[in-house]
Amino acid sequence: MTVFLRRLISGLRRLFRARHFSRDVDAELRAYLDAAIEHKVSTGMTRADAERAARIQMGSFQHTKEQALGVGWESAVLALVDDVWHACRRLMRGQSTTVTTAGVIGLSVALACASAAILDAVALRQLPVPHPEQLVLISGIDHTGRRVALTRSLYEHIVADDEQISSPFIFRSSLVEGTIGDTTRSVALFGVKGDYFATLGAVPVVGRLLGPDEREPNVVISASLWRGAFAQDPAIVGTRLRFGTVVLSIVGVTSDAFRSTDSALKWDAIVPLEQLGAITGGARPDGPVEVGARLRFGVTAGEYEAHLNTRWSSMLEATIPPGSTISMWRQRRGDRARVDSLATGLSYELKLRPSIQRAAFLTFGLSVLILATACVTLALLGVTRGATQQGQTALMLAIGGSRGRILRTYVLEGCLMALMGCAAGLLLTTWLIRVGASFLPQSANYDFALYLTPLSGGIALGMAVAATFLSGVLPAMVAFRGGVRGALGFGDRVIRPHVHLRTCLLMLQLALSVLLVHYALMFVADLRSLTQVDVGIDVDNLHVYALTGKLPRRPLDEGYFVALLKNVQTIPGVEEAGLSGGTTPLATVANFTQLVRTDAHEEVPAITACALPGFFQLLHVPFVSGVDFAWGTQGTAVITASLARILFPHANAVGETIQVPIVAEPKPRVLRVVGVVRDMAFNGPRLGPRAGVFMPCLTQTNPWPSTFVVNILVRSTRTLEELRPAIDAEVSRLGAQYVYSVRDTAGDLDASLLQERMLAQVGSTLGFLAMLVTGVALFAFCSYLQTFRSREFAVRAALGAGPMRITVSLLREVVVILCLGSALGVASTLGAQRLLASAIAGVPSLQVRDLAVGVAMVAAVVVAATVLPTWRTLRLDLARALRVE
Amino acid sequence: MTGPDKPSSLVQGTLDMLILKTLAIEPMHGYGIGMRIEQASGGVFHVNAGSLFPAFRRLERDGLIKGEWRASDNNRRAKYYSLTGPGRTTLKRETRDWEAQTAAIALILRASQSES
Repeated sequence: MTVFLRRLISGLRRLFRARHFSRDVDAELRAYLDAAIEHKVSTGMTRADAERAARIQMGSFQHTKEQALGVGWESAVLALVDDVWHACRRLMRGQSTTVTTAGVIGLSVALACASAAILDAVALRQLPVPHPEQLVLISGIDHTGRRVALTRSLYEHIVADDEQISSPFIFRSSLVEGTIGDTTRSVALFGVKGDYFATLGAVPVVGRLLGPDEREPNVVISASLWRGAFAQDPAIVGTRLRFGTVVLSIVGVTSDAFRSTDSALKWDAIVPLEQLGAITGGARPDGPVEVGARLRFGVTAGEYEAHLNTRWSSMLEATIPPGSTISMWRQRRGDRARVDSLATGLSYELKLRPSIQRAAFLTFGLSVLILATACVTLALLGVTRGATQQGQTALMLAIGGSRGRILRTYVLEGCLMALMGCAAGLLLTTWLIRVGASFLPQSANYDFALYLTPLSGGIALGMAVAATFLSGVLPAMVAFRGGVRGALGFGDRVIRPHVHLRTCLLMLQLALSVLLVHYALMFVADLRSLTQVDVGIDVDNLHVYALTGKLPRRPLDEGYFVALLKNVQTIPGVEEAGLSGGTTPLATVANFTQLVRTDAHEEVPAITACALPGFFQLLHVPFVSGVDFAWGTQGTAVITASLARILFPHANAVGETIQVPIVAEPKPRVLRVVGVVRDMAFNGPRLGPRAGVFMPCLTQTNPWPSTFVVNILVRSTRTLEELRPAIDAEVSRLGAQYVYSVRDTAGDLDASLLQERMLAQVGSTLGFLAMLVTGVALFAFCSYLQTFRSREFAVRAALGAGPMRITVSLLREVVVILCLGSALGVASTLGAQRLLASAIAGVPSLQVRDLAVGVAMVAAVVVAATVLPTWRTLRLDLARALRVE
Repeated sequence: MTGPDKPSSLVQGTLDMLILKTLAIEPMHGYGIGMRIEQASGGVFHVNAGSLFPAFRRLERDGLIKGEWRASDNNRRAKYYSLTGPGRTTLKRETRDWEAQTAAIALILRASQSES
């Protein structure tokens, strides 16, 4: 048997029979001592002298025993177990300190890890393609700084100028209704052209992918659609999908790893761009498209952007559509080109919703600040713990304990608290991640995989190390400063922190607190603004009753709608009533738009809906110009103000004509604009105010089939259910339809803002916690420092100074430190604000009110924490204060 | 300077070899081993319990000696150590190595003296 094995087996045996070994060594040492005594007695010594001599010769019994037991690897394990047990007992004795320390660690770790996970998903996670840093999105920037999409003609020019890029491609997304097998459902479609698949690293698992110039009615589906709708049928190739009148043939399936242009984007099918145009009715060559490409090796996005801008004007001039001017074209396609990275996270989506990225960065920044505050708090708790244990530590040193052993105990205590805190923090993180996921875009197109990232792990590990140092090594260093002489009463009883160090620490803590409180207030205000949405529609007491047809289906004409509206208006309690077809306000959250264009070939994506006269009046949406629909007239439209501004920037839109695609119709419908209404978030606050076109229902479909949805919108102080029987009766009286669902628009609005409100609440909680941690840390620090001065105050009181005078003089000192600390804090806040503003777009400007509130809160805590312990000391027995520090 | 009447510290790493050599004669208990080393060295080496017992643990763990509780000469219980087979082999090897090293050191010292 090798020595190694022998040592291993012997060590294991000893580990399991530690007590037996200890007893054995104990007995052997006693036998040794007895033998020594007997030997000395045999040489003529008295027994008493022999015993004394033998003990002196042997030295400390316990020490010798520890030396004998300290052999081998197993002794290190046993010592560790002993120390852990000892540390646990000490932690149990100081439960409040343990819970506070672990809580501070856990909370800060949880916040930082959760926000790091969200930040990773939103902005940092790289696309799973080779060299993602080379992928770029090319677009234009208009005079307002807004990003605008390019066109196919501009794309052709970019392709021709390929010195710095390779594999350019076009993509456009759309959510459409499609028939898969026997079911009709929403399908997230991508229309692509060029080297889309090759550039984004797609590999087919079945069949093939689309070629660069493929125009045929073919479709590639995602692995998730293949699984969900086709049960991973290996013979999927050749199966047909129907989108209205367009029928496409499946040619392949991509792998699960293929993430398209955004790492969290969920999509169902990819078709040639021409086919997407045929499906959505927007197959114009100058329609807006997104253009992506791969930068050639060594070229940066900035360099390519500069290169593109040297040619931008000539590209625009070469692509002006007929009937348009260069100024109009610049307005629509941008004054200059912009090149953004598509490498990470929601690169593309965040161009559209920068507020999400800002919120993620702000959350992470706040978490980092909380981490910093938590570290200071841990340091203060550690220093306090060390100071209170100076006497005990000195005694341990006095009876022969080595510094290394004592330090090990302290470090173990810190390590245990750090582990407890980190474990609790990671558990809390999983919950926070779930909460945090709710504020990411929740449309059907996104599937965020939030998980603990290496960054989260690094934060937890870093915090554990820092916490071990601050809660283990730091208290030990403070405890050692007492020394043996101090413990035995020969020297200063307690070593006080140096005055200058104390002042500096306090100032630092004050500055950090001002910064944190201000930042927390700003963060909460920014998140709260998400919930304050003006949807542009008066939703108070607005009820919706959705009708559908009884069988057999009947054609409905205008007379039906007039009669229905008249009957509903006569119901007692109904203040106002209106009708719409299909979608209802605030009910649809899908971003379904169609390309609306003018005769001058201006083209804008807009939502389309149909309504009947009186609809806008019911919603309390005012007309900016023009009038409402009139009964008996068709081929008219009411558009929103934003659409009017884009389509007709230099003219009144009323009287102009627009072309609106109608699903399943080959040609767009030509409508005359009769009115322009104020913008509204018709599809819900999440999508915000969108350009929109409203047309009379019978303009869209005439006659209106009874099985098509008609909505009765009623404004009434009576409840939804109270009105239901009367509505049912009036609808039944006409015999064609029945009420199949009822909804309350205010409830819809609340439901659609639930995630934002939840985020605001979580954000407020974070901000409150940040302020709480700051307040507790500051209070603990100030109280601790004042406690050290209790003897000084007692002496001053004994010499005749009154409590008020001492307090005032103390306050004078504190005010100086407070002013200096606050000034430092305000300066740091200003610096941090500037840094934030340069790094993150849309950061709210510095609020003097928030800053003042921050300083006031910090000042209140400091004054309270300074005065209260002093006042308490002076009201207590002076003799006691002099005796005990 | 260390004289024969003043206990000297052992050359580092030699205690284990001395214990093995002591036990090669007969099994002994801890105090007896310490005394035997002191006597055999003419009182030059004095080994205290703090060094002796960790050495016993090391040698026992490596299987070079084995301990057994039995009655001592004065009828008290004591743990007697005896040499094992591997212990005997190790002693032979270490003795050989030691002799070779001391001979070499002596040669070097003699050469240095003649040069000076």
